[in-house]
Order: sequence, then C-alpha cells, then structure tokens
Amino acid sequence: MRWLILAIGLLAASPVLAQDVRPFVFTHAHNNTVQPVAVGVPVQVQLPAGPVRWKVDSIGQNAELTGSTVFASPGRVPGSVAVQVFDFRVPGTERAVIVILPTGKAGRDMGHDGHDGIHGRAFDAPFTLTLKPLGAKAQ
Amino acid sequence: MNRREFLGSSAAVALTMAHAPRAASAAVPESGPQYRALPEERSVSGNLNTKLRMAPVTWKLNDKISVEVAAYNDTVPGTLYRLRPGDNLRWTLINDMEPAGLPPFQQGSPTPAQKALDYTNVHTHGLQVSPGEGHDNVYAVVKPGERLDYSYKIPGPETGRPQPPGLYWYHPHKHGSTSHQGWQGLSGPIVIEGDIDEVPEVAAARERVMVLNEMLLNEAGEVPSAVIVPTVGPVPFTSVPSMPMDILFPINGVLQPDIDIRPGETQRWRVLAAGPHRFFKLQLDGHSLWQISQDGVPLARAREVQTLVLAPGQRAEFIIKGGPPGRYAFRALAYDQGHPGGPRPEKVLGTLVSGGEHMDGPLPGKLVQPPEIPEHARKVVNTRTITFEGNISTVPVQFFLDGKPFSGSRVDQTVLAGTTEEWLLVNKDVFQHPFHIHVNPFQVIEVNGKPTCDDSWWDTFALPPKGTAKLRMYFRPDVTGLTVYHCHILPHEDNGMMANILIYGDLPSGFGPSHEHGGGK
Repeated sequence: MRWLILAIGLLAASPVLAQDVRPFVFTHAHNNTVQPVAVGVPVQVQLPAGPVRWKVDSIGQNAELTGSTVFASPGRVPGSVAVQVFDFRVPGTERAVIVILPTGKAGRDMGHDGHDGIHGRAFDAPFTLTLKPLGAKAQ
Repeated sequence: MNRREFLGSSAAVALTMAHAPRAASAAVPESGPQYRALPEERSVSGNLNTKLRMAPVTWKLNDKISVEVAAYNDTVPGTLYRLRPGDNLRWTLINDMEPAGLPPFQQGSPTPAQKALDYTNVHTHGLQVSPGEGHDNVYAVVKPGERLDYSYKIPGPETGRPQPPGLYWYHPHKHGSTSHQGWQGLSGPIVIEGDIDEVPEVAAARERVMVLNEMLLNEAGEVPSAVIVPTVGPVPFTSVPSMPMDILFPINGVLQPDIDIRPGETQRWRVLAAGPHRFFKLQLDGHSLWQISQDGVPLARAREVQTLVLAPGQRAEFIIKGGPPGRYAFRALAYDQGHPGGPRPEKVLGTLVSGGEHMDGPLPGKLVQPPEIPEHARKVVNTRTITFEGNISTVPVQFFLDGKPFSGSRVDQTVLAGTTEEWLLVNKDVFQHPFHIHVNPFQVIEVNGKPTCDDSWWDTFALPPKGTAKLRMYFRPDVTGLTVYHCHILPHEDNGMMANILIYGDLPSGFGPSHEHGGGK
C-alpha cells in the first residue's frame, strides 16, 4: 500500500507530456557519461523514484527542461516505486551538462523475501549526463 | 539521397507517426494494407529439403514504411513449412548477415561484440526432436559466411507418441544474439498436419497462419547493435549509447493489415507470438475466439474466450466467425507483464473486415483426444525447484536461474528419459517470465499453489509475478541429449536466464531415478 500512496503522490505532482518525436532516452545506465545526441532531437532522462524524488539541479546553457512526469513502477527496481521522467530540448551544438539531484534516500526494504538477493537497488546519488550535440549523423 | 538516407527518412516517418496518443492508437483504422499470406513449402513423400538463408533485407511494412531488418530466404517472417508426423525435415542454414544498426555517431568498424550479434543458429520451437549435433542443437554457432546442415525426424505414429498436429516455429537461438535477431523479425512458422485438421468444423474454416513480430528499430529503421536497457513509456527499451527508437508490431510482415472475412464465415487463425518481449493480450472486437489448440497441441474441446494472452514464444489456434459487415480491430490490449512503468500500451495489430455474401460456418465443439502421459510412466519420480530472478539495475541487465547466469560448460539438471517429473517454478520478480523447455511439452498442474484442473499442454508458460507454477513433465523415452530451458523474454535469456538439461536414456546398473540424478530438491 505504501508504494501506491507514494506513486499517487508523485503522479499528482506532474502532468503527462505528449511527444511527437521519439527522444534520446537516458537512464542510470548512462550516468556520468558523455553522450552524443542529434541537434534538436528531444532528450529524456528516466530515474527510479519514490521515496527518492529527483530535482534538476543545473542544466548547461544549451539545454532546457520542457517537462516532467512520473510513471508508477512498483517492484521493478528494489528501493523505488516509480520512474521520474525529465524532458529536455537541446537546440544548439554546444555541450550541455545536466545534473539531477536526489532528495531523500532509496527505500531499504524493497528486496525480495527481506533480502536483496541478486537484485540491484535504486540509487540515490547525483545523476550527471553530458550531452554532446552533433549536427550530422555518421553515414 | 542515398539508400541509407532514404530508409532513414521513411523510418523517421514511422517514428513520428507511431507516437500518437494511446486513445488514437486504439481506434479502428479506416483502411489498411492487404493481409499477406506467407510463402509455403510442403513435404513431399515424407521429406522436405530446403535452405534457410539469413541475410539483410529492406522490407516494406506498408506503402510508407521500409525497414532494414533481416530475413530467412528474403521474406519477413520466414516461409511456412508444412509437414506431417514421421516426416524428415532437412535444411541448410546459411548466414549471410552483415553488421547493421550501429550507433549513428560510432567511429570505426563494428566491435567484436557487435559482430557477435550476427552469429546464429536455428531452433525448432516445440518440435519433439533430437537436440543433438546436426539436429535441434542450440549450442551451434554459425558465423557470417558459414553454413550448417540440420536434419529433424518428426516423431511419427510408430513412436507411440507422434508430434501433435499444430503450429510450431523456428527462430535463431544463439545465446547472446537471440533477442537482436528476434527484433529483426527472424522467425517462421511450422505447421504439423494431422487429425485435428479432419474435425469437420475445423476443416470447414479458412486457415490463416499469423506471425506477430516485434521490431525494435532506430531512426534508420535498423535494430540497434548496442546494449539494450529497459525504459518506461511507449518504447520499452533504450540503448547504450542512446538512439531514438520505436517498436512496431507487424502481422506477417505487414503493419495493421486488413483481414477479410464474410459475415458468418469461420476462419481458423493460427497465431504465433514471435516477438522477443511483448505479451499479446489478444482481442478481436465484437467476436469470440473459440480456442482449439495451445502451443501446437490440440485441445479436447473448443473453448470460447473473449481474450487470449500469448507470451513470447507461445502459439494459439482459434476459430472466429465473421460478424455483420463492418471493421473490427484485432488488438493487443494493454497488459502489465512487469515491465517498468506498468502496462505495455494497447496496439491495434490489424483489422478484420467483414463483407460480402453471408455464410453460416459451423463452430467447433468436441475436437480430438489430446496426448496423455503413458500409464506406466505416471508416477512422479523426481521433483525440482527452479528459481527465476533478475536485476535491471545493472548494465547490462542480469537475469538468473537458481542464482546463476547461463554457462555452456555446466549441466544444471539431468533427467531420465521415459520418466515423469514435477517442477516447481518460483518467480521472485514482478516481471512475468515465460518458461520454455526444449523437446518435451508439459502440463501446468498448479499456479500459486492452486490446482489448475487443466489438461492443456504447453511448451512455454508465463509465470505469475512473484508467484509459482508447478509443472508435470514427461520426458519422452526416444529423445535424449543436452538441451536448454529458459525464459522466453529473449533479452532475459540473452542476459543469463537459461540453463542446461541433460536428458539421458541409458540407466547405469544400480542407479534409479532419484534426487541424486536431478540436483533439485
């Protein structure tokens, strides 16, 4: 029940953003990396949330937060009950660094059978992504 | 505009158009491309000799969308092969693949890991044939430029346990590249013909064999040659490095085809879920489905259902009867299979178009006698417990059986051919893992501890989230060798959720079937 309350709280906080073009999607798998993106194509960051709430700390000049939303996602990643999604646009060709900070700690009791097993956990350290816009795609 | 630019632009149209809001995607299409029947080959005098040439292909999913995928013998999905119990099937697998789907900003040539995504072999899913070398051997590795001969003896009446007549299939099974090649659409149906085809209500129905593929594509319309990680939203995966992607669900290589029927006409739909990941909760608007078969094995009586869930790898056959003139959506309803972000969104797979002169096709009732475990072998001689558990927090993701990732140099279970065992499958995940075992089908006797009272046979069964299923398996005595069982969500299988089973036939003196032969408790 606790995850449900948390997820509802997060969902109520932000509207769903409709998208017309598929974005470059980044997750914790891309944390602390430099990632090439095409100029002008939307960028999305998805992070496990609840009880952790993620907040954009800083964005490079060449990036703009355009929206955020939350998907309920209980039990998929121990220590979280949802996925928080941030949408950005990166209009120019300059590098952009996005830093997203956690508030609160990842849950401690979401492992299976009272233990972690082989499951990983939602992380609650700062998320950093450097976007390197490239104008022309490799042929 | 060069070829790649052209394909990229046409696929970009797909990426944009396919991103409509959920309500719009659930509407019945006003029109669609024509349904496509697959090319066929049939055994002659008990033999079918052919080739499977696997090669890149530019494939038109409709008038606007072309994709750069892969095909057996230049058709997506592959040719439909028709055989009968007792037949011999022989084919030569030819690997003519070339690297594709490289990240758009990648410098240099493909890495060894990317090249390995084109290594392959082929598995005949559901056929009760030898898993040995030269047969249904999933340990074989066929690299680009290489070829390998396979032969299969389909069990006939003389075995006392003929291959049940129904829908089976073939697809790549090289550990590590299975899902990549599945996303490319590499798959094809095999129909075994037999007694159920003679049931009058079944024989009267027009047959359609439908392969549901699932294509994960980048902007160039290619399957990414990159590590795949799960995401929320309309597309269930992204890659490392990231590429904008879409996911498409063609039927027989066509997006949202129009499937014609006459009012009152009956049709026999044989449907295969060939996608690597998506569960299809099928619904045909305004029509019941009279199910007559599961995973290739006929049922004793037809079962009327409104929806039918096919996990990856599963097949079902059902009879439909055309409704009044009109257009009816054939849907994959929203379904929560445990993926991050909740239910996978609803998709319209095609449209049933009813029109023309009225008919009154008969609906099925009693069918045929399904297989049974031989009376002398009904005693359960061994029980085992298999645990499924995954971790999507790592890169790549990890999926284990009994706490271990797959290793080709380990035998995880040994069983005695000709005996019956019960296996308790424990799913520790929210993800619904579809359990598949090669060679022998099974019955599901309990789900979450409750008896199913169901005598259906399966070769793939989706475990409930954080739940259990108990199976009863009879290992036919005449097929022995080393093979595998695994999760049929292919990204799970590729990332470890597979194990080896040795079916042995010669019992050394002084040994009998016991836990000592199993390893499980």
